[in-house]
Amino acid sequence: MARANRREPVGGAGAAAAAAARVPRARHRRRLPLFAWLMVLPAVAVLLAVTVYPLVYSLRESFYRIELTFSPTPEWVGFKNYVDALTNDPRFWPAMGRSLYLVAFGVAIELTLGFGLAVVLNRLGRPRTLVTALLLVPVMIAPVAVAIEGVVIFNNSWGPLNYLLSKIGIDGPVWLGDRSVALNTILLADVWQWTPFVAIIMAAGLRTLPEEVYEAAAVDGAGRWRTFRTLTLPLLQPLIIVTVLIRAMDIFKTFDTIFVMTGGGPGSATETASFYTYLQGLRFFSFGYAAAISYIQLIIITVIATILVRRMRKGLG
Amino acid sequence: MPKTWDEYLQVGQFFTRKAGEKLAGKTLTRPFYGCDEYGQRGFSWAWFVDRWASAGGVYFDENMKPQIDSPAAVKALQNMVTAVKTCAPKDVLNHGYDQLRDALLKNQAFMVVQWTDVPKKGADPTQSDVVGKLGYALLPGTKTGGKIVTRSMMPVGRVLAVTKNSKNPEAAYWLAKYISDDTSKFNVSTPLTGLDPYRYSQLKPSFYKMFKSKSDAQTYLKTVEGALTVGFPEIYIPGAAQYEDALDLAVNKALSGQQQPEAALKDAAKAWDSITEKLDRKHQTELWRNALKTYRELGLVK
Repeated sequence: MARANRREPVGGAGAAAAAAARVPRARHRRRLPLFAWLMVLPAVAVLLAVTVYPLVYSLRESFYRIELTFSPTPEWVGFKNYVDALTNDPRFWPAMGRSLYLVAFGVAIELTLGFGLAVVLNRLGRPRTLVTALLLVPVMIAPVAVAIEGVVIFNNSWGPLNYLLSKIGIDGPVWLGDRSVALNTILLADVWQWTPFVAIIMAAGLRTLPEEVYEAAAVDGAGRWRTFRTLTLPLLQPLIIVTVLIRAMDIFKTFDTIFVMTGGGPGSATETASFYTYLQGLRFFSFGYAAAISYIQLIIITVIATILVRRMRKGLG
Repeated sequence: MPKTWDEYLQVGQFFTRKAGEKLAGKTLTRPFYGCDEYGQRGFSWAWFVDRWASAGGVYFDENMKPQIDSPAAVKALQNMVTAVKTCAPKDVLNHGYDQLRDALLKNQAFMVVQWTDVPKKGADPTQSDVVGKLGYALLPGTKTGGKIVTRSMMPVGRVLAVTKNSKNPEAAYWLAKYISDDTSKFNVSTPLTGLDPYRYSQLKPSFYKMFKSKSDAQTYLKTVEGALTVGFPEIYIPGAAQYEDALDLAVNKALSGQQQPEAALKDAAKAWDSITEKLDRKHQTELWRNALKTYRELGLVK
């Protein structure tokens, strides 16, 4: 006996009724897309105007020589800007190296500390809400304000950090004036500001984990470290990947703290790719070249993000 | 006050003392430095040019060949590196305008090279811990042909212009005149701004009320006027920001120990050549020759 297909009409009258019922529904479906488009149109327009259009425009610019201090007329040069950046610019690759250093260590430290904070946060009872709110304070401060605070805190002569260190017998380094330390000082400011963000996301993720699997693991005699490695990390993998990607992209773009705290110095110690792009575009007004090195960075960070996601899935899976 | 850049180092080193040592009969509770420099990336090149220009340095020759890696330039940069290492605060490479000003006004350093607004602030008790204790002088120089030549970098000009497309040029002119002449004497003479005197009409001691006496104000203004007569220009041809950044990077690399002065300046000269090529060598050379001719006619460059 053939099974009735619930979607197909059964019998004549029923078929007519169903057909009649279908007609208004079909009309109703045709109206929906237009209405839906009208609702999202403002957001789409804004997205096109502030994201897609500048992206496409700057891609076009990257194939031109645009030196505004020399001539307002763009000159087609094809891939020359890209070739120059990749092979002839002694500052580009070192700047990229510094950016990738910040990304690698920044993400690693923030993830580690953030996770630790998340575990502590989830063990707090009533104070959790208040502590969470307090943890959000650094995240809400504008990066440029953090940088200005950093200039004061890290001041070698008058700053509170070296003062406190001196009280415990430590001669603090010249945080912003020593080229062997300056990039790590920038990293420190970033870790201070964004570790709470990672902690809050991880804490939320930890709270959604199913208790049953932990109970089963406990019954099977799994220790803390094994439980963490084989249960917690894999279960949190999607959240970790997203958090790592967000932080990696953010750290790569770091500009405010460098501009305010060190200006790219001492020497070239904190001249990262984003700072160098700013110099090329907004100090030198070499818009074509700045656009090209922006796109090179975009390609590199996209490749790294893709590799990162694949490795993390493999490692945690 | 030191008359040459070598004397500057000697004086600076003499007055540099650690915490616990004595200075002027008093035991210091904090380190005191003989000098301070603009060590931060962005403008450290100007403090180098102050030294190099006094030795006769000019950015390019007639054929647009960079002159910043000459022996005189290397010696000038070495002088600055020595100052940073031996008589400036430890975090000097993070010192910009604000820190350099405060080093003097908060009694951390014996002497600094600074803009002309700093003495006005130095005489203002709301901003300075050394009111009445400051002296002013022209920059140290370099002995050339038995004579000490001093030059003062003149970065950042203040110019108002009426465009040829202006719809109301006469009104625009009168507004420019109002800002640049009528009200400027108040703007440049107050210790609350960072403006420097730039017109002879602004050099009247009576405008500068922050000084304790008229003779103090006169000494200050005489020094300002002297500095204006030995001013040295920035690069003003297209690509100026790129040339200056390349030089600033080289200076900062030498100051931070990342490179030796000679190697750093050679890299800067190489970078300058690349910039010139990128912007069209023929066009840049023509512009530079015109600029050089004007500098010579005005006595800015010998």
